[in-house]
Amino acid sequence: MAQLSEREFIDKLRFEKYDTEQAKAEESLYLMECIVGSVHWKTGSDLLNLLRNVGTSVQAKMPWETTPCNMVQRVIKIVIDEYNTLRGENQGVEYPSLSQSMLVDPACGDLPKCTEVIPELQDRVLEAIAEQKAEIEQSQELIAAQGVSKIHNDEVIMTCGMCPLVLAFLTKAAKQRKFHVIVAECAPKYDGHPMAKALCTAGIQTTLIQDSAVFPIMSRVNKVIIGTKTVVSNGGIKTFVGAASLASAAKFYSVPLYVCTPTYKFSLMGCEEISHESSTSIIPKGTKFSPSVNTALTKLDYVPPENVTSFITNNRGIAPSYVYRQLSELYHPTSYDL
Amino acid sequence: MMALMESMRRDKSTTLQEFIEKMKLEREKLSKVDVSVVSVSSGSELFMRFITLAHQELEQAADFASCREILLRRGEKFVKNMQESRKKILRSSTNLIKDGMIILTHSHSRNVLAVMTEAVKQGRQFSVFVTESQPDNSGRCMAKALEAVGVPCTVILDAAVGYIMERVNAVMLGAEGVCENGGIINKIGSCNVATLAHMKNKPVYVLVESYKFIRRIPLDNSSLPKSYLHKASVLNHGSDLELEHPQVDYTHPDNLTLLYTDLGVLPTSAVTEHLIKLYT
Repeated sequence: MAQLSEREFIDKLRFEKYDTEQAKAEESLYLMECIVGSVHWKTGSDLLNLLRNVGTSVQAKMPWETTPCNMVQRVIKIVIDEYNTLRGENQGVEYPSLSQSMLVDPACGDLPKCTEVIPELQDRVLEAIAEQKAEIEQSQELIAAQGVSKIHNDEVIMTCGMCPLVLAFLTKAAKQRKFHVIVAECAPKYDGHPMAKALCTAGIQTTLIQDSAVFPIMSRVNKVIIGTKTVVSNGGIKTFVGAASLASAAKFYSVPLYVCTPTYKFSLMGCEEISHESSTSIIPKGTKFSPSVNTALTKLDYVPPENVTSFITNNRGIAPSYVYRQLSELYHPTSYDL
Repeated sequence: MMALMESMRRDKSTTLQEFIEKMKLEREKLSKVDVSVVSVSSGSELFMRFITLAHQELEQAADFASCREILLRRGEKFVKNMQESRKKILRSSTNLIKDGMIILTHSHSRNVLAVMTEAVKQGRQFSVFVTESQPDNSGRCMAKALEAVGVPCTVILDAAVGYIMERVNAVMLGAEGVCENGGIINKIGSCNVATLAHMKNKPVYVLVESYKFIRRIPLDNSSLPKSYLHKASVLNHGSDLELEHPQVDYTHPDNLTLLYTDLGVLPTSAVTEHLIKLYT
């Protein structure tokens, strides 16, 4: 594949050339691989600055695209870890005393100084990036494999719209369990329709309902399973429009809500303003609409952590209050301020 | 903290043991003064741990004089960190206040004042309701300080919190101490404010420095120790404590949304993890 430049990547993101979040994550890893593999850097600090620039430029232009920023921060952590391991081997092990962690300032935004030139750093970082790539590719299968333990026979499951992860989750479970799925059609894209078709093809009993029927049907549902675009740092999620009302209905009837997400969707972003976008796509074609009427299409919905029961990730299920801990394992504390 | 540093410098003890004993005495003396006992005691405990936990360096020190140097240096670092922590809180809370927000706050908190001053400097327009917070009327001091900065604010009765809550967009509180489960100990009346806010689905943001994290999980308000609840002069006076009004109360973590600290923005479940890191 040809070398991918940062500008090309940002243009592709802007024109929405990527279908799924997984594709975005893979492309951003590829971009960073190109940066690491290039000769523009000598010390660890140079590399960290290059990576940080990619992160800030994506975030400045498209703050709602969190997956590429997550991948940048993941690679930053990889670089810092590899650097510390290599330096530790060269100079005798120096475990930082835990009271020194009081001096590591997460809110200061300065990445640690990695000023030594270590020749093996490049190879080790490239290896770790390749491992990360493999992890992303396997995430769908690993999540789907947990379906059997989460779904029981004769259950009624509700989902909304199309999510390839949830589809894989349900179809894998259907091989060993018999259950019923209710799909909300999720206007205005109506991607509940292809989801229902795919589920039917897999042999699952499916019912398609309108979005407004979610609340009355909820009393008969055992579980709600949805996908998401981003998991924010306090344990809530930012996802398709309609999720907030779905989650509130589930909370009202005490129905557990499971969110299938791979680890690359965990973001350090707090729950900021949801971005709106004006568009005419909610009006059916051919109708005459007066130009004095303003139409707005919201991009994302926020579900607070109290309404989410559990996140189903690559290796295990985690609670919303544990998301904070997961973030500290995935990313380095000093990169929070990108 | 500065007092502890000074006594460290003036101390003339010759062994490490004696030094530590003297430090403990100083701490106890501090707690006998009429200050916010919670933050002083947690701050001093952390200070002691921080300065004495420099194992590697201390082991290599040849004699007590160099030990003392090391301890003094670490003490200075700690004090400097503490003074910087307010700036770090400012950094983590830059986007907290948005244009057009109506904020409710309780009593006089320097952190809340600092964040609001910063927001005014960035040109945001917002208005504030401050509770009077009897018995010492500290809410009025807060209102005066806010007006000096240029924030439109109104002082309300403590009893009017329920009345005003529907108009408010968010609640911002300081804290005298943060318990291990994420609950906070703050001026009496904060429990009311936070519980009402939670009932009406308003977010409650707490701005607090990390040295105020304490290793205690109060089960409820009656299990708060007497040394927190009443001023030291009252305790020493020996009067019947049942007739004295408490100075602080405990707010359950369920009523709080987020903690803005110098360690970043934490959900209430993250406090216990940071406490472990600070104390081991």
